[in-house]
Amino acid sequence: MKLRFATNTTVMAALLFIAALIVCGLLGSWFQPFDPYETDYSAKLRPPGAAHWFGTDYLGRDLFSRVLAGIVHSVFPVFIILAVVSVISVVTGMISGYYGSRLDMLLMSATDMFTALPNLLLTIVIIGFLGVGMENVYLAISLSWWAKYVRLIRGLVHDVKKEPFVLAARVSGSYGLSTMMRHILPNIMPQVLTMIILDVSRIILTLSGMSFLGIGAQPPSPEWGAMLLDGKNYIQLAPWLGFFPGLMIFLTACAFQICGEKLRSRYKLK
Amino acid sequence: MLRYAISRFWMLLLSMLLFTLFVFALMHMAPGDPVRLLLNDFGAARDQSVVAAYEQQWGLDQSLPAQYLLWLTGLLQGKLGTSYLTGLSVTGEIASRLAPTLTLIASSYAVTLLISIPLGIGTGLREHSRLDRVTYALSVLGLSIPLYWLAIILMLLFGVLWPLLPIIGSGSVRHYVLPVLAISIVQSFYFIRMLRSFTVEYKQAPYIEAAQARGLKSIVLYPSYLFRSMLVPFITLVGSSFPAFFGAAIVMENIFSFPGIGKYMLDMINRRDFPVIQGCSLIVAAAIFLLNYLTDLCYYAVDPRIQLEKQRWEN
Amino acid sequence: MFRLFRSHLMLSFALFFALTACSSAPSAPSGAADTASADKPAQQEEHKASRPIIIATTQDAQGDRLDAASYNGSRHVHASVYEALVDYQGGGKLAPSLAESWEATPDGTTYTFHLRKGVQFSDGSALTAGAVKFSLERAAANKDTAPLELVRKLQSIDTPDDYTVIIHFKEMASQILLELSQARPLRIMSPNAVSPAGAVDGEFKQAIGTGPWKITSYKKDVETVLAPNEHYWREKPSTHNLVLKVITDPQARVLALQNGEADIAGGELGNIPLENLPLFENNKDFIIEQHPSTMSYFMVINQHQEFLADRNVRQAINLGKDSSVLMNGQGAEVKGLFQPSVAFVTDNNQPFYGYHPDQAKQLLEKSGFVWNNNKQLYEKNGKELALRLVIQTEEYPEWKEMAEIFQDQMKKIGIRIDILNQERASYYNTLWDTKEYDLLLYRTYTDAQLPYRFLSSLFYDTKETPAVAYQDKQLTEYLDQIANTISEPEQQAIFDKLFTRMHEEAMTVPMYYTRQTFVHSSKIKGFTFASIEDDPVKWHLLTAGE
Repeated sequence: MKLRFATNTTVMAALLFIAALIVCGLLGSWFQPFDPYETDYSAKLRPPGAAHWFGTDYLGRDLFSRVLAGIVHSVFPVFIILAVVSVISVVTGMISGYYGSRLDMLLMSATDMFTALPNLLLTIVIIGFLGVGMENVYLAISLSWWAKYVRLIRGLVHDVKKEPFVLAARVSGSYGLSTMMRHILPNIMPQVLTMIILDVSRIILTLSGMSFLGIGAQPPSPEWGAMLLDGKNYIQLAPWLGFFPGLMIFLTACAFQICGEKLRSRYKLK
Repeated sequence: MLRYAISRFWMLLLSMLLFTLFVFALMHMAPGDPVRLLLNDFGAARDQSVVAAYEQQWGLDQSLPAQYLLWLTGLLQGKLGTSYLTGLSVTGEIASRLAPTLTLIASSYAVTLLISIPLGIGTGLREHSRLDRVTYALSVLGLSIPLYWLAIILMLLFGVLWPLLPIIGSGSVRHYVLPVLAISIVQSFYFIRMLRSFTVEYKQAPYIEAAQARGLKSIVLYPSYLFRSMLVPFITLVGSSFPAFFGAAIVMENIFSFPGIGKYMLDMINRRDFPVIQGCSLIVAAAIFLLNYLTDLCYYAVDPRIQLEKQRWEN
Repeated sequence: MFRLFRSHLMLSFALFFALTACSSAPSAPSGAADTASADKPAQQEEHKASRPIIIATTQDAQGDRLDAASYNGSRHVHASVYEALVDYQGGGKLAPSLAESWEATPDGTTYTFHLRKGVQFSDGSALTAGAVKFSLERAAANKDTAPLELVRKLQSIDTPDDYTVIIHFKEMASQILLELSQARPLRIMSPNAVSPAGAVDGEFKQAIGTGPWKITSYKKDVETVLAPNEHYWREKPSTHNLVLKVITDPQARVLALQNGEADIAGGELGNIPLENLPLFENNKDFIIEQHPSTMSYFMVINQHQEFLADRNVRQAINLGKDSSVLMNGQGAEVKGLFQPSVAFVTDNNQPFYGYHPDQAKQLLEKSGFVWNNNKQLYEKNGKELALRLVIQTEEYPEWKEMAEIFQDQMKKIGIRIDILNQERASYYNTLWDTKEYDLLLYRTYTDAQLPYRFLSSLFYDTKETPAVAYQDKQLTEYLDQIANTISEPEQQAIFDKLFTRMHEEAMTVPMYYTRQTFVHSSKIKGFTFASIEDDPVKWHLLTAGE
């Protein structure tokens, strides 16, 4: 079957984009035309132009440099959070869906509880207790995200485990763990990937949404989501303040999606 | 079926109980003291005697287990306590704000399903078509816009530049159009992607291919085979996306100044109005738990095999 | 089971059509009825005179619980409905209001008020000494008011005749007149406002005051409608109704102004993000009104922090910050902690530091700090000169930008500032309890609460309750002295010394003098600022043309 969607050129472009992000993130300051933290009150809110490609913000800082400097703060945390969230949710969902019965009920109740908890409260408590720090941000976000996938994963497992090849594996003496890893996981992986990768941009946005709680990006950090939030008061007067960080979040999300799609089709061909 | 439903229901009650305990603990662990915050709102000086009087009035001078038990006995009598801030009953405060939120969520659900079912399944069946590509690009775009921005842009477009619709309050049906639209746009993209993914997976299932090979026409094939097999994940998707809708409703209530429960709850978390936080989270949790309970029951209804299999898999 | 699915689909179709059908209604003439109340009243109402004026407010006014003797409800609504015995006029001056004149005994234990004759409450009943006694006693019975001097020291209230009120205090009470002028909880309410009428502990029924407005309808979290009080005595009552509409989001308030769903927004009751002002400048549809305020933003200093215990460091911070660039330079020039409009502040009794970054560096070096060229920072014993600055952006969104500018300025004198933006309740918890800050951005109170009430609640230091902001024996002593005299010249002399002390010790970092800013549609005429910020605008003078 031809996969025109994730054609090799688009996949290459996406991969190149991600690679560029990583390189710019690691070697950031080399590519930045200006110091992303340097303020210049005489050049406030300049629209995009030759000197400032993306314009300047309310303190006269160069937006292009800030967007580049923001990669470290915006994209890298997403990798970590995605990894943590998918491991927790896939494990819980699979166990719950595969074993069913009482264990399922217990796990689902726990999941429901986490889903229902007001995120704001949970985060306030985590920060109140553990203090400010990136690792606590990851913890706070992971704790409030994992639960939302579990039910879907469990539903998928429910379906897959009735498939003849899983039954066959059971009959031929394959035990829980190996059945799950060998037969169930590969079969639910495409949907799980779709689901989780869809949330890349959401996670970037959530990261910034927490900055007012004293965690996540604190000023003057050039985190994309935070820049987007800062831009909201300038939506009519200086829309570029929100536009460029937003564009970067969009492109990043796109790149992840395309790669995810590719991975997905790989799985399917197996 | 009935036995499952009943035992699952007990579990539901038990987890509700645990949940309230959880929220109670979190609330009291959060930094910030409700009495002092209230006095700060008054602009009144902090005075030990006033603080003590309030702590006594609100029962905050008692031990935590005693406070929780007190709240629980109240709950069993159908009382959720009184709000610290207004002194009114929490039940009343919630009831007066429930309708706008429910209407907002229900209509957003409806519009979302209406947009996403045809588009999601359509793009799934015709993978790589032009429609598929456009939806794909739009959905990534849609998911990258913060809801806040989307709402403000909609307000700017349809409230200011082209003044078609009111942008503040919830007085009439027209007031619902923009917030519902904002929520539905974002949620639809998520739904479309998920539905498309389900369709793509299931249409390759052996029994569908077999049916296709038998020469079954799509008009019969899709409803009776494909959609049926997609029902379980679809129900799960709908059921489990309630928290996302609720979260979106909170944002919308804030921007469009809806007198709803989400905004109220957020406000009261900020002000540490404990009885209200307890009450609101209980209501929201009850909705989520019930929806998930119904989803689980649907599994049975949709596919009675599960019941039989239960014994087979349990050993 | 497919039927279930299908019925679900049908249901959603039905719902959707219901929704679209209704949403297209406005184009059809018959559908206009249901939207009449909420949409642009300008187009609906044909009588010019009865067009309500819509004011955007951030919070619900709690119009059903607006008891004059309580802290319930928004301050500005208290001030619209109820009047005080005396009016605060700014700069420490008081003017007659419901009391035509008053006098206090030199020992400050007895105050006599002579009431204005012919004043009526909005229900038509007359203002009498009995009503004043009722209002003040009702306030005193409310446990929330316990910290007020009037309540703490109150002995008895006599009413020798219908127009004379004599208040006796247990001891010298110096702040009484200022407290009485506040928007709440010592304003005068009719005894008929409670049930049974006149009972000090009676149940509150409805807001009846002598102010220019009365509350006619209230929808929780939506709006409070004020109607003119025909019995208002001071000026002609308004011919318009006032709708206080709750618009929570700041950006939404801007948009509501633009599309006409609100006529006025601004001030503390419905602030407009200042970044948006250019939208309304040079725009014939809108008028921007600005007026000095009494509030200043400043930084609380944690004197127990190892670096900040050193006066030189505190002074260096003051010398290194440049307030003139904050908020686009829209604020007035910052000198001392208090704005010039504050009582007891004269042209020259509030010394200030000014912007002198070089002096700041010299001071740091004098204290033994060494410049680290790699880090571009000062260090002492190998420890970086780094300070935590705690802010909150829920109540004061502009603090973020201010903090960033301050951070940048401190960098230039070799001090690293780490900004910590905390959620509102945690922020106050940090200020009051945990003290986990080095610097904390805060604001002064306003009007009659300045400077004494503000200083005593933040800087008054006792063994049992240490001062919240900065602990200084000398300062506390001054505050005691002020409380023990009602002679204005004596108080002035003590305040002079107090301001100098605060300056020399660099107890705070004054940041910004706020201004009251309102934006209104140019159809609204007669906009006049009132004398206190809790009652910012003389709403009853507004008229709405078409």
